[in-house]
Amino acid sequence: MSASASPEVSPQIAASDRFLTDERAERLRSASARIILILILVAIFLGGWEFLKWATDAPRTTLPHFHEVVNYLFSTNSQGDKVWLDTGRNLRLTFIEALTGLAVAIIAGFAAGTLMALSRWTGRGIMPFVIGAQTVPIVAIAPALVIWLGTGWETKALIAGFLAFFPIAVSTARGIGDVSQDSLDLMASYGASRTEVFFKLRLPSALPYIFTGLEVAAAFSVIGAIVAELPVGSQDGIGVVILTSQQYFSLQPESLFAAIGGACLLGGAMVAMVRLIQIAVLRGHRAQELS
Amino acid sequence: MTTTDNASETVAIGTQIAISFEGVRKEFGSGVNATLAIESVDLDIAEREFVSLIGPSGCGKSTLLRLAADLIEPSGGSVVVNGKSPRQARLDRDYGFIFQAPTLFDWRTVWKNVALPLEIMKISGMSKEKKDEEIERLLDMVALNGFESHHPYQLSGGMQQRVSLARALVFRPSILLMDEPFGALDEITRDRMNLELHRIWAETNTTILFVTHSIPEAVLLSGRVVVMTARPGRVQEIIPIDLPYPRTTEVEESTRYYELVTQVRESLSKAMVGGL
Repeated sequence: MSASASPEVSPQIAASDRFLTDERAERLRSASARIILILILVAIFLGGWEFLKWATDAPRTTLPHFHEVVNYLFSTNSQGDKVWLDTGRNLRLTFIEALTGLAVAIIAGFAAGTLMALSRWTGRGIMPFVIGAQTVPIVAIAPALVIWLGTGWETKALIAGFLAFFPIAVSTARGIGDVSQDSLDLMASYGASRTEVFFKLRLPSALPYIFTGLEVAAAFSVIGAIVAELPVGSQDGIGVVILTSQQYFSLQPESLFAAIGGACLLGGAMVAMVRLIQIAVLRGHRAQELS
Repeated sequence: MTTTDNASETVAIGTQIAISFEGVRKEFGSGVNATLAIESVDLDIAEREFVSLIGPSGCGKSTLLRLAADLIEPSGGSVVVNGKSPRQARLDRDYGFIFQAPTLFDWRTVWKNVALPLEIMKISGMSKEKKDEEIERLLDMVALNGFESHHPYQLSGGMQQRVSLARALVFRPSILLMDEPFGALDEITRDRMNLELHRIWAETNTTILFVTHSIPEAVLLSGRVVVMTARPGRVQEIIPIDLPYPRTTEVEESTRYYELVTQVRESLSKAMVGGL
């Protein structure tokens, strides 16, 4: 049997090997292309910054030179600390708030999304609340939450989680619910239980969807944490740094740009972290769903 | 069943009934929107038999298959599978179902896809070594050894459908229900798959109920071809196929083969007129 099969199999193996090598080369090429693209974008950004300053003849108090912002980061502030160290300390707090919020949102969002997809009645009950979570203007409700819950970091984590909840819930509901009838029939033909259908079919097929939502949620959690830091009464966090920098803008314009840059880096780092986890978890999934 | 009398190599067909349809009726929807998919279908399929269902689109071939699989329930009449209700037969894992699409799980390797039914069924007294042996045997049977750690999207359509065949056979069901399994494949691959399926059928003790659109395919593979009429689906004619076994490419070139293809085609065109 295997003897008769081998002549037709060997060309297929050869074809598949070529396919794999191509895939590996392709991955390498796309990785280096991506790095080059990032470098080009950074160059365009810096060029655009300096061009804008030159073209509009903006004074330092409107738009400082980029190198002035970098220099500021390495200077010493009024408390005698290095500015970049101080900024880092504030970023760290905001990061902890955002990460805690994201963790809470993952648990709550996954549970809500699963219920929405699987249970008709509970799902209908939850839906208005999920929509509500999306439409509540977070900037308006944050001060009230700070008054009720205090200015501690937990309040900010809660607001970050509130914002991150929606994309996770929706993408989970989409993913868990979006399973082909054939796959469900297949599982039924094995006499699979609901639990088996969930863990062997629904959850693994939903993972790419869930990670897409998670990426958005990661960015939202940082935004949520920063917005939560803005109301009066907070002492630390990158949001507070942004607020104070704005007040002293005419004296020290570089500090606002440094703070904005720090906030951007934090958001980027959060999203990158989710991406790395995604790549590790979805190793076996379709390649195109990763890129 | 005496259709194998003049066969060069006889294939023993059992005397027990594997699947029985009796006065089966299936309606989809209700009230004004109800459509009658099949009506008063009587059909007995013997153990070890290979039966094809053929008919115009919407004649309820797939509906009949899904009724046997307990994926849908009849509106009237009775379906009996291995002497049991279809539900009990499903829970006893009496049949393997093969869809037109391979329906493989992309996140699983070929090996893990074939292992899926064994994971779910938790067959008592089956050790891990025994399971591995079984999976290896089937991958060998469908000529996919060497592709164990590939993912489905790395395989061609024909190879994917062979994985799904291995997956359906891995728990040794006594019945295979096949819903146009090779309909999406090109003709060359399809021919090869047909001969492969026929060989597997001869090697294992499986009853096969096979839904197809292709007349040559039905004639080549089957012991009997069931021609169905269009909406509502009824059995128009049952044509015994008295071609010798094993069915090979030589059989496909015989005069008798062409006569039978013509006979099925004529029956089918009558069925079409009946449906219009």
